[in-house]
Amino acid sequence: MILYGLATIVGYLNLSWIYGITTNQKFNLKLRKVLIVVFLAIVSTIVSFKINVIAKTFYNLFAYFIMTKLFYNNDKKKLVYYTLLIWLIGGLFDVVSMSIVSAIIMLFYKKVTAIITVIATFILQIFLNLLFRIKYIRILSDKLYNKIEQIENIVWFYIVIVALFFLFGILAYFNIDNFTNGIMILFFIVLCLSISIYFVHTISIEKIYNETSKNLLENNSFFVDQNTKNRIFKHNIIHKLDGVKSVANDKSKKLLDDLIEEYNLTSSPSKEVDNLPNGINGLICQKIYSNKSKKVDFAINNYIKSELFDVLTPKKYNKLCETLGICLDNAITATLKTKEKILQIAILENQDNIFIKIVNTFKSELEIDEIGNLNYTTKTSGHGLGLYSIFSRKDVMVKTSIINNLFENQIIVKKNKIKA
Amino acid sequence: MKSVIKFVVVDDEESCLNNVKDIIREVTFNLEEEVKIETFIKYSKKLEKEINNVSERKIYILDIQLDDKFSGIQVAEMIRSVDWESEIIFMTYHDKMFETVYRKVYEVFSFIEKFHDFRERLKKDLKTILKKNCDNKLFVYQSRNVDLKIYLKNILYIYRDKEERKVVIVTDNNKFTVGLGVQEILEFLDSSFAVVHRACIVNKTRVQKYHWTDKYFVLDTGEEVNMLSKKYKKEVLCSNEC
Repeated sequence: MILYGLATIVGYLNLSWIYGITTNQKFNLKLRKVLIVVFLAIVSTIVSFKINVIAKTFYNLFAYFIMTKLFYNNDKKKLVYYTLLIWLIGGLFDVVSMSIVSAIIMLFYKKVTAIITVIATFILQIFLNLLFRIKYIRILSDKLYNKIEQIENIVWFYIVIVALFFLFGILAYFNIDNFTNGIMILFFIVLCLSISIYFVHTISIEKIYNETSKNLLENNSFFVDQNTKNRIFKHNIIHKLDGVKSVANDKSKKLLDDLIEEYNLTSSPSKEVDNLPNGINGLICQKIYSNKSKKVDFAINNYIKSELFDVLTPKKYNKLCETLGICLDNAITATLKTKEKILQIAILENQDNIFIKIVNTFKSELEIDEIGNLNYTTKTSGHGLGLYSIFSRKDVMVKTSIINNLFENQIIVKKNKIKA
Repeated sequence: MKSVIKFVVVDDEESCLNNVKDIIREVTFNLEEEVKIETFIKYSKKLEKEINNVSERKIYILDIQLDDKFSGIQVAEMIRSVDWESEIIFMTYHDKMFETVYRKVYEVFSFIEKFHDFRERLKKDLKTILKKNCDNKLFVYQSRNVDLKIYLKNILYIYRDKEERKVVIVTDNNKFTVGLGVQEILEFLDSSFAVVHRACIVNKTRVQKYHWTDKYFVLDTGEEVNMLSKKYKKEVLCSNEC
């Protein structure tokens, strides 16, 4: 019994070590843990001698789980998988090797002694340790684990239930002539069945709820996103139409003015202004004219010689008009709240870019980190869309600075490349 | 090593340039600092390089009407794109035409008419600038979308936002909430600021009176702020004396 106990301790420690080799983790031997292993080995020995071999086999599996949990800190799935794998392979080699050894010994010595059994166990343990060091065994087991990891928990639950029933079936077979044991096994079968039905029902309802919630969240997210885009479109359309009007002929302007009125957008006063300039200058003039009674101190410096419509693609021109309209509206609204009411616009260019700088006085309480975020506004609710819609653009960029009491927006747009 | 003050004069008239140089020499005669004067008749690469060199303390004296594709206003714009600490004085023929907007927009110190008491006015303005020691240090904070720059002299006080880990910077006209703690923002400030409460830092140069017993201070704007703690009295008084 002592020899058997020693062999079990070595076997337990070796299999824990093999777990570390397979999962590429360090096997830390500490006294407290070794003592626990020794205790488990002693219990295994007692089970083997006092109960039977089958009980010992299942006890060993239970003990391996305890030991791997003791030595390594892995999630449950990994622990169960690798422990089972090593137990199964170890068990298989154990059975095969013991059978071969017993056959050979019976052939030559007619008797299998305890010492021979223990020596065979040691040899087997060394063999298993070397086997699991083979790179391809580890790679294969990892690949299999990766596949198994994707199996849902419900499937694991079914596997365990089936295994349990199989186990009870085996036990029932071996206790076929024992009425009491048979009743107990039957009781456990019914209990397992009831619990499994309950769990299946709960899990399936939960799954339905999760699927429904997921769909609702996705739909809600889509709706919110669409709603935001719709709000931004409605908010910015007036600036897009103003941009078109800036290069339109008289007839087109009238049609556009009619559209603006039809959709109840904030009307531009272009129909009230005679000889409105074309292009960006006309756009700016509209904004100034609509605020002429509010005593805003405008200063406009246009240093460029190019006609913007000719040096930008239609897409960029449209976006520029939209961006300029939003920035100007914000600037005028902000500057009207100040005593000085100053608004300066400078339009400059270099070889590659057009720059439009809008500087205005302002008086406000601002959350600097929130500027440009969706729905952040210093106006009433329903705003907070303009800056958000223009900040994310790359073809027409906006750089915003606050310098003391001045708010500055610099719009930068790349000119068309001149073909050689 | 002596500190340097640089005067950059941009005017297309040679006679005016020489006149300004004489005035500068007259005003800076007794100064301890080393004085350098650079003159330009128009915008050039050399002037651009001078503007972009922000390591020196500068006073720009610019003619608005330059006989060139770049006006004085554009030169001021270029200066302010890299440098908010240097002072700018504009020389102009036109009374008041540019004053209001550009004074604010480019933080122009003054506009001086060339044919109306020019010499005396320029001398007076230069003396004022030199006396106030060109105190234009900036508090700079960058968020994802916005760059914030405030002259330290314009900050009245800073207090901690109750709800979130942010501070509110109070200036003469505005309040800015930034994502910094009280201790973090101290690193951006100079010795003119003092902690007067565990949740408040004040610009000492803007305080009219401290009421330690009643736990409030009064600013030069007349505002009373109830964030004063006796715990910090000794430090504040000591730093004022120093």
